[in-house]
Amino acid sequence: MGKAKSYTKKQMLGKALMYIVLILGAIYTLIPFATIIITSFRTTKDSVRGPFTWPHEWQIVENYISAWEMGHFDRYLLNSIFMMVITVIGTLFVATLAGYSFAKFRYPGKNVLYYTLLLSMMIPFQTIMLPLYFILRASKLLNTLTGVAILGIATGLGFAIMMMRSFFISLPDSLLEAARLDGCSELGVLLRIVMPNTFPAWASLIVFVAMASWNNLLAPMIYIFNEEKYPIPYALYAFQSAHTTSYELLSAGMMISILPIILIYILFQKNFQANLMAGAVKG
Amino acid sequence: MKKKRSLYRNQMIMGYILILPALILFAIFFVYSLIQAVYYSTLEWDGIGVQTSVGLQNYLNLFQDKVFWGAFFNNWFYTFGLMIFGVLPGLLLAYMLSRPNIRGRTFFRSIYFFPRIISAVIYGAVWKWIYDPRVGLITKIIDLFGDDNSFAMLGNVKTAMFGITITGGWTYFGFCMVLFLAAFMGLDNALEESALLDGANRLQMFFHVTIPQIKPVLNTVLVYTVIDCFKVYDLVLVMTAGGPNDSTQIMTYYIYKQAFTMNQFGYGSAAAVLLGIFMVIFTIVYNRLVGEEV
Repeated sequence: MGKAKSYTKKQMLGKALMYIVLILGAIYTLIPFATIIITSFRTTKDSVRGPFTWPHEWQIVENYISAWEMGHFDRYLLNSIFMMVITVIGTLFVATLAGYSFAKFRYPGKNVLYYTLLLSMMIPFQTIMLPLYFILRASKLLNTLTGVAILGIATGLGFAIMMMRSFFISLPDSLLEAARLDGCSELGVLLRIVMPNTFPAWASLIVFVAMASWNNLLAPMIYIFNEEKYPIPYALYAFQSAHTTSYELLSAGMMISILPIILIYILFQKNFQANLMAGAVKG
Repeated sequence: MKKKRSLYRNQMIMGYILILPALILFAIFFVYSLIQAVYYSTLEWDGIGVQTSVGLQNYLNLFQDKVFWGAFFNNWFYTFGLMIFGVLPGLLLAYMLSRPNIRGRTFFRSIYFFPRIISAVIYGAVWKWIYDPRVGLITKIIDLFGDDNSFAMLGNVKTAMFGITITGGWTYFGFCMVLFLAAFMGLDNALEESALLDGANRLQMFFHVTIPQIKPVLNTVLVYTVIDCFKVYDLVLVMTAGGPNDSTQIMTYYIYKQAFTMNQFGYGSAAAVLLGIFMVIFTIVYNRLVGEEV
């Protein structure tokens, strides 16, 4: 009896220790975010004291208005949204068709083609960024957001196809066969039977692609020259170089640029993490 | 019979049509680009003017380029740093969260994963503040202990790469945690319980029973870490831009600098091709090794 009691005590201690570590980990993760949030609400005079002091004066909207107007964040947000929408739609279109084909059709050379496409995941963007510059220039897409978006579709394709293929493999064949026997054309099967069942897979693919597009810094740095076409990260980078110690303005700018992607993450995150986990277990 | 055959032919044609858009993109942006990249790497060229063929001279120069090898070394430093500050804490936190009597699993998981969705332009800048010798958090903490010397993590050749690595680990451990958590949650508890009954202590059990069971995921994460660490770019650009004195130079930023700052397109391409070859060889060799083990 006494032994059992001491065992529980030890267990309790272990559990408390685990919670302490977990909470410390959470605090460690959140410190930079808390810093941005708090700093974005400080007055200019107050923020001179540095981002790691407790504010004496607060203001709620002023920095956001200044950042919005001085930093032209309205324009950059629209640029990023435009680029993200094209990248997401393009990737969904190409990867859904290819993934469906690799999962549900039989034709010669299928596996060779699939693994060749996956090779693109291994090639770092930097290896091909110079030739891409001249390809974009030749196709009159240099210095356009559409051009960068198309590159985003191409470079993210290997992963997207892999994800869609493994999703379609889990879709039962009997569903498709039944529709085919009912005289449904291949296009009809795709549009009426397959597509309506694809939304869960799309949800997590959207988060991956949207995140990659939203946070892409290198490609816009190389292929976009006009400031009015900058997407958010590049604009923020330029803004940082111009206002190194205006912590309050920088923080407000960061907050503005984080919010949209956080919204997408929250909307789709349940599916997203579940898929990430499933993918890892499958290897 | 005839109908079945035509059905197969229909399927074949449809199958090819569906992968056509992907193949076209792949052909233009990867196959053609890679051929071009290899071709550029044999040139002396500033991107605008005359192209002079120099054969393998760019590669020979690269092998003697100290900054290039320094960058290669820094990428490995960063990789091993992320194993310690990213993969390892991710593994431990995932193990804790996978214990059946722990509550708030989704809550912690969502918080830890958070840095992964943010751009390096943002967290890189905040971490720069943390390391700031004048107003930074580290300086403030050192001050608490009465030491008035300011400490410039990123301004010092010896510590700058270490500072970047800590930040890299901060963005990475939550991502690893999500992957490991899935693996731990899928485990059968019976093995652990019988090991405990056999008199193994917790630590022995963790290393000899639990870890071997999640080896496939561990392998995936390790390969992914190396690939990810050799692609790192934004973080270094934002935090140090390769400085001070090239002490944080990494492969990707070096390639960028050669091509777009120094206008040495041929030389930059050679470095880019070497990076690509390294990544492909690494992935293939690793898959072989792992494949044989399983």
